[in-house]
Amino acid sequence: MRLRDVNPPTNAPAPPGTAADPADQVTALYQAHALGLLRLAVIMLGDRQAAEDVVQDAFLGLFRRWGALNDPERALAYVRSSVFNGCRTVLRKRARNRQFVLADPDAESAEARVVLGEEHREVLAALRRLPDRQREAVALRYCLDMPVGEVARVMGIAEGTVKSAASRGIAALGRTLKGES
Amino acid sequence: MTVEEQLRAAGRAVSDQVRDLPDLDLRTQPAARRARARAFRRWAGAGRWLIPMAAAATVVAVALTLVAVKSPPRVRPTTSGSPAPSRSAGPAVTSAPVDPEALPGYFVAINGFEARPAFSPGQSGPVKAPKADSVIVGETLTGRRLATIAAPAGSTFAGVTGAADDRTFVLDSVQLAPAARSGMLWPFQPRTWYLLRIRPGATPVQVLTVLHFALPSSADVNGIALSPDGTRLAVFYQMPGSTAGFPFNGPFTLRVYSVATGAVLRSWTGANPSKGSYGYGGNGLPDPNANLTWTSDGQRLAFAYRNSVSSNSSLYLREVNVAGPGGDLFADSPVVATIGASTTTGRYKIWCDSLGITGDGRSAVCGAELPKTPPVGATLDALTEPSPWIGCAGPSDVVYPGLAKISLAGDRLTQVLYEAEPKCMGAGWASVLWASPSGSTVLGSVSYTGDPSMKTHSAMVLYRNGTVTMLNWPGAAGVLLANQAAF
Repeated sequence: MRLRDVNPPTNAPAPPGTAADPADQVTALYQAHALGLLRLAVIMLGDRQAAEDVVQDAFLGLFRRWGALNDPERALAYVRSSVFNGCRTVLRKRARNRQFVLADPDAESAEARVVLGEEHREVLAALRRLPDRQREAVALRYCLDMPVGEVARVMGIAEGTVKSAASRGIAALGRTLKGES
Repeated sequence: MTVEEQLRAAGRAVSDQVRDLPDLDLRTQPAARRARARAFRRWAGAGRWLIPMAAAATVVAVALTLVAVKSPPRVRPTTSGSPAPSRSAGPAVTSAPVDPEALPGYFVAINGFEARPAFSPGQSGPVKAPKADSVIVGETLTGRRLATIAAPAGSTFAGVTGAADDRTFVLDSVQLAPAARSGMLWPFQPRTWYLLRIRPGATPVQVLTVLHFALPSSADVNGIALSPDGTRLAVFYQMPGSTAGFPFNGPFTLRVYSVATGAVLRSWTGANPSKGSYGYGGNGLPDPNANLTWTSDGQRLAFAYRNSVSSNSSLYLREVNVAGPGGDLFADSPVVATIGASTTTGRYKIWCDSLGITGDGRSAVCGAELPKTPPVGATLDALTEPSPWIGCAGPSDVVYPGLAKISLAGDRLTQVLYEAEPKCMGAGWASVLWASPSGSTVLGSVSYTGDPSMKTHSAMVLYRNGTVTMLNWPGAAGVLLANQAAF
């Protein structure tokens, strides 16, 4: 038997684009896409809690601006952009903190230290030191295994730009990892 | 390994770890202002956990020193041996859950129970198939197996219950009868109890310790429930009485044992010749008689109870005060909820295939059989109108399986959390497997048979703050029952 054989629940949120309540639509979008965005944010930040905050804030922002969205189909693109921006903000704050704090300002949570193996932490830490566009292109293309076209669509840039950003990012990572080893 | 391969491996590792989502709260404030509140909650959570953690540590320590392990079960870890993921609201490496309302990250379930044959009331003889059931440890949201624990040699696992910490479970195993009795499971075969601890991030994920609870020989265990703090085990059982086969007609007993020492802490006993027990849901379908539930403070213990051979077939949720006086199972257990059934026709407004109390003690959650238009707000006394029709040929109303919430103040149906409404169905049944203290999150299994195909359709249904999600458990059994799955 297959679970989907059971009828959809009567109180499940309506799909985006219908005249349903915005909260229901945002919640439906969250359930459909937030896990992937959360994984992306965890890769970017190395901190589950910070990643959850970024994703939560992205959807909260979408909810608050729902009435101003001209095209509800753009909702996912909006929230993706919000996650990218949120991750950049967190990383910049960490970089600023490093200037004033001698100790490592918890760039990566204790959770990540234990859950991910050393080899994974090392490559992801190096990834976080890349420039924004390279980091995002590399994370989407390789960590999340997206095709180039999909990465271009998600980032809102040309495929050629994705390829060049990812290529430069990989080269920089190779140098960093070689130097560290 | 190239840089690209390292990145892909790291991405897979993150994906393996990030498998659940916190609830979306659209009323919350942005993260910058949320930070202080979270810091406070973490401290509160940590403090709350000191007690059960200390208790669990004591349990393990005492058990290790007092108990000799004989024929320990074989533990077989699953493929990757990767660390267990975090509970949905908490970090993976802490054993303390952050939010008691959050869905537990793990389940422990008895594997193979779906193969049990039907069992007719009044039938004498074995009540379960001779299959030795193992236990699986898995992730709640995905159904992914983390480990499989084979039953001890010559035995089968028969029951499981969990504490509120998502880490502590008690397993009940029963020795299979010798070949002369076809290897069947009989209640008078010796039982062995185990404490199962799940350790996130460790290999193996689980640790097993033998426990001793002195149950009378031949006690037919109907239900078990570990207290929220994991220190006490409640066991509801019936003795054989004068009958040779099932159902038994001897007295019922509800006992509370110390997990650490095995001592009987409380006991209530009462005779009721109008009721017989069938073990842990002997026919493979949900049975409210198997439901034992604690309130979160560990002070109140509820048991669902229904006469099986009397004209009064109403279902009652009764409750004992663990700290209160008395030892009479019926006189000292006030009825806190009633699912009324007509004494002449047996008709009811809704029926509960499973019935338990929520942790806050304010509501009951019901694995329900519901009419097409459930009587939300109505009291659940007996139905005087014609019964809902079962089957496609019915002209109007049909009974649908679902999940419902009942207020203990006035026995009112307060909310239908989910109701399956297939176009055409035969019988349906449902079981609540886990509920958060407030009942805002409820996990249940819902099943129905097609009409006329008789094909069984089943779903794991997660209700969370007004939203319903179907969990896709690969290879999940059609029916999960209380005492056979714990979270």
